[in-house]
Amino acid sequence: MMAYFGLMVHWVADSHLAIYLRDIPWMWPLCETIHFVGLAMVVGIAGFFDLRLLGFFSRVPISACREFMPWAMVGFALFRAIGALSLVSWFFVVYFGRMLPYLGAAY
Amino acid sequence: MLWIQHLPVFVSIAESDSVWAYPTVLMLHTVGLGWLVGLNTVVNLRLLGVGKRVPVGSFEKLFPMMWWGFWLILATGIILFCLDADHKAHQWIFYAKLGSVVLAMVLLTAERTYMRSSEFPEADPAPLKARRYAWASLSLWWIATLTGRLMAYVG
Repeated sequence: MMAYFGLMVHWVADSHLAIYLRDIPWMWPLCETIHFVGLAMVVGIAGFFDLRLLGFFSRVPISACREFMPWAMVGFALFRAIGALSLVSWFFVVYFGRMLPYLGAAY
Repeated sequence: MLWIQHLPVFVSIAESDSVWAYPTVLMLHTVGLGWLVGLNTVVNLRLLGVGKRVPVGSFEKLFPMMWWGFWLILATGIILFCLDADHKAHQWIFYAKLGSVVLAMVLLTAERTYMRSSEFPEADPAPLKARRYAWASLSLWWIATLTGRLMAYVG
């Protein structure tokens, strides 16, 4: 099982995507920034809708407040996409051996 | 600046293995960011014409909540700075981040004043001035987030 995991680590870590993430210096900070922008969109827009459901600004119809929610989904998509990339990035950390003590038999 | 991070309270936070020490402070810093920037994004989207049926006046209650988020990021930010004061005080990108957050908060206040004023035409859901405010605010938060993240990489 761990041997297959080790193979998968190499396969992901050698992929073009991982190489781009690894070799372009500003690429990873940029990804993290997009991750945080997505996070703020989800937390703020869903939070705003939650506040309405909790009874704040109750004169505004719920359906009107709901019109912002597609943008929360846009934020979630950004957040999730970069989250998936971070798995790749985690794998390249593995590749460089910093996670070695945790992997044991995989290497 | 070394004396700050050598204060016993910050040494104990920095050296603690507890999840309630550094990870919790960092997590609260991120929660504050999500709350402040996210709620401001709702207002900015409204100024760009999303959710036109929500009257601009009803966002008035949202601004004090954004300030709660701001006080939270300020308090946790001071702790995070003190844990690594000597390094951060010499990072130019740190000052770029502080500057963009201050500018974004100034803009937030200006946005609030504009939305309160009779200047906002109720007939037009997204007048040009409102859209300019919104894009300036969104850009400043993106710059603040980028420079904040770059602190881990630059300088």
